[in-house]
Amino acid sequence: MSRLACLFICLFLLPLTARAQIDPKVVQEVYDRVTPSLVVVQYTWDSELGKREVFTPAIVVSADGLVMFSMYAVSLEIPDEQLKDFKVVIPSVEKDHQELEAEFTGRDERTLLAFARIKEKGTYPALKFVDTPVQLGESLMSIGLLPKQGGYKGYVMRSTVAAHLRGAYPYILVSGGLGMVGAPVINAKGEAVGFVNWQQGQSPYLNFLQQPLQAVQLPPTLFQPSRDFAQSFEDPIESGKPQALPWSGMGQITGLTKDVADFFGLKDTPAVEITDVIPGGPADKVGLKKGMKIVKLDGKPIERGDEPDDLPQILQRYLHRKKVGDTVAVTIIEARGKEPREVKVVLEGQPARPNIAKRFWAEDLGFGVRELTFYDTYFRRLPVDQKGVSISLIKPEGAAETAKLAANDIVTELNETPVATLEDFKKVYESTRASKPGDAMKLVVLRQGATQVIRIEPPQ
Amino acid sequence: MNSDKKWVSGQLGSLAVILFFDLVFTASIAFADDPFPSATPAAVVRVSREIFPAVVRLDVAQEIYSDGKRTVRRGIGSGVIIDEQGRVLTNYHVAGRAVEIYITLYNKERIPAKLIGDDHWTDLAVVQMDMETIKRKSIEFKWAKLGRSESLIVGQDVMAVGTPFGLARTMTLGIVSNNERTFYPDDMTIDEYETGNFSNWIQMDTPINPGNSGGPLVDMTGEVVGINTRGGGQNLNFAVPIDTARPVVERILASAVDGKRGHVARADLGIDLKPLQDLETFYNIDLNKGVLVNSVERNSPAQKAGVKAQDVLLAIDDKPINVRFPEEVAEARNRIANLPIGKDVKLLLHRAKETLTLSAITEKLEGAVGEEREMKTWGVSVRDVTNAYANSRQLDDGKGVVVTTLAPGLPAAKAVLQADDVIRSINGQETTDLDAFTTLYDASVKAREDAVLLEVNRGRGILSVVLKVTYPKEAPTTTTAPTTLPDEPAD
Repeated sequence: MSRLACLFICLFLLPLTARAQIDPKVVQEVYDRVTPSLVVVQYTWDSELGKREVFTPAIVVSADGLVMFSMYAVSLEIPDEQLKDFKVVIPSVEKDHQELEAEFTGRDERTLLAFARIKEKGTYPALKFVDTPVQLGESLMSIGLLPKQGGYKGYVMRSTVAAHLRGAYPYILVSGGLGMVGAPVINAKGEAVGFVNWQQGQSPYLNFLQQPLQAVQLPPTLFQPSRDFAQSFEDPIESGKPQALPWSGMGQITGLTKDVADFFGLKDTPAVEITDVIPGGPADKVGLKKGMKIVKLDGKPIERGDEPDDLPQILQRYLHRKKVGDTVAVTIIEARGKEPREVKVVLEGQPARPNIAKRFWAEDLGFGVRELTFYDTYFRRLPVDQKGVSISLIKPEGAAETAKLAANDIVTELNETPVATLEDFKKVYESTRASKPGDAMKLVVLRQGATQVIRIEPPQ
Repeated sequence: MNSDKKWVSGQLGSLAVILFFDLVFTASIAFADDPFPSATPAAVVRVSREIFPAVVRLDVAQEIYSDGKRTVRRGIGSGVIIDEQGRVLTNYHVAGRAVEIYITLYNKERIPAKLIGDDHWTDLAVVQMDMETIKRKSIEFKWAKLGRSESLIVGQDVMAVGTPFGLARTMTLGIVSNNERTFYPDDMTIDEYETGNFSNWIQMDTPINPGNSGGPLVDMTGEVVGINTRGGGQNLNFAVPIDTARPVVERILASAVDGKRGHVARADLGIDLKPLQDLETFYNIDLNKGVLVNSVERNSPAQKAGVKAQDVLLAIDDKPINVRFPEEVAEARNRIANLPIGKDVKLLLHRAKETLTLSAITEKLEGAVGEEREMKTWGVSVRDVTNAYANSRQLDDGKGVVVTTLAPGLPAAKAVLQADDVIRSINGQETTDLDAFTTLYDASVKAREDAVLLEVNRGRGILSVVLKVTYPKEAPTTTTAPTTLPDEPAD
């Protein structure tokens, strides 16, 4: 054959070999090396209505026993005080699975991850994530865990990089499939380049499955590249405390549609409009107002999203990369035709949310109450200094349900005593129930802006 | 042989006497001691012959707003002719907001009709048959006599006549199951319009179905005792009592002058009433005294007068008001509704351990659903924000108009305006109410503005929405000469 033909054939074959499937020997090697770091985090959700065990896949990320998993496996809907009995289960093929007591470190909302730490001192096989970008067409592996019925066995899924998504969460889209939520993503060189986090249609749980192999049959196709959660390792969350997220005090922001942007002379400029400002918050303190449009953050244009609705989250995420007390310079346009000007906002701590609010469970009459948070008063359009407690839960078939008490009612009075705090409520409730157990109780609640008088008849 | 005949005739004679006495005896029991006229076969036939010629079928086109446009929704109902002027009583949900009505009489003739007035609060409407057509076609009709509903007895036989599922001139038979049915504390609505607040219901087991609405419920003297209105399940059906309808009809007819749509004006204090049943001990109140103020509406006459939630209202203008049971709430509400509008009213209240007197000025009762209009060029329909609506959604104030429907593909939908958005301004000018909004809209369309800035309240914030509006090209006038000559055909 002529040299030219040889060259031509070699050139033709070269790209083919570069895109070739990962060698099965490499797959086996990665599998053997990575699976010892794949564990199960187990905890009990001890709710007022009963206990429930939750299992989710996790990855050991440091030799001293720090374990990482999807934040969505510890939903913010669950009150923190009800997350109990954390354990890390190390699966084994030859022996029984090892169950080790663990401590819940917390949720990192900046990266959508959660962490726990094995209590028993030891050296645990850790997986290190590497910030290696992936290329279109690159072959990847991902190792998921089969559910309990499958002995938590690791299974390998193969995929090819299809797209780099942009927006608040710049994930990687693959063709093929990935391991279930909680799985690491490994490249052909054996490096851990990403994490499969929760996505639409996927479950982070190893129990509660309608079908044991559903994650294999309908696998995830998006993963979080290492860079996107590096912040969890560079600036780890503190254990035992709710995360102190920075907050700008802009109650509501909206991404500008193309037509609105054009109208305000902001062609090709991603921008958000401030649509509500919390009185007394950081934005309010520096004079930011409804209607102002933000066009730059710290002197740089806002990252572009796929659609205007992405922009508020992009801005939110940008702020979350900062710390309480940091300053962020926002460049704003006050009105059409006006020149942009920069305003410096000093970020404060986010107001406490319902998941850490103190609670009280009135078991006999079948309802739960908790402290009011800023979010209750804000979204319910109540004065910021509204006093009272919020109904957190109504027990089905209980006396409170029969009396038509409803979740999210705000209790302002119990019998004749005004209720300002949870302590007020507990005191009156417990003493009245103890001294007059057969008497009905009267609650005055706020519901949708109007008061309601509710009479609860105790069970006979 | 002769003796046998005599014996037989003697026996027959005795039998005749016995039968005669029997008949007289039972007949007198039937007529003298019956607590209500009963549905004997004879009575049923007699009543149906009386009432059928007064019952009509209505084919109605009701005004609704959909896809950003004013359009109609067609439906079928029943009605009863109540006087010789050809007025028909029916339900609001059958004929309210009607733009077109056709009535089919008992003799199967079809004639046009017009809405005189309606009242969604009691779910009633009054319709006028076209008397010209009736005269022209020499159509005969009967009208029904209105009876009384307060004296109905549970167990009393009643008949319902109407057009279930379009099957006109259908009669069903049943009994009164309950004469003071209340659904308190549940609120009922018709297309978001409040209803059922000011009276209790007649509950009956006469089968009624969709299409029966608006038809009469009659007793066995042939008088109308109710207007069939709602079904609730197996043999659980409800009628508006005629004692409620009578004053509503009067007030609709009285206000329907100079082409205006008749309505019922009611007074409002802004108090939500609650029965004191089992709560008396909490308020140091004797049994059967007063009614509990469950809540006071924002910016209402009661709030301005200083009435507070948990006050016990004892008397209005020195006349005691007592609500112990849910069944008594409607009547109490009606008492307030019948107060003169815009006048001082004295309220005697019990608060904590004291009694106090407050003075309030009644206002006109307004529902949550305000007037609605279409804005065709923008492809959106909007509704006036009433105080009641603003309160139900906890809006900051009653200003603005609320978006109800959007036309896909037109400017409002393309700008991602959403239903329930409250529009506060157009191009920087405040739209305090529907009229102000309409004026600014008309001006914008006339000026052919291609970009319109709206300030919109959505959730807790106010955001900017820009409508990109296109206008149809002007049609060429006949005096404009063509600018180019058509090509000459090739030879």
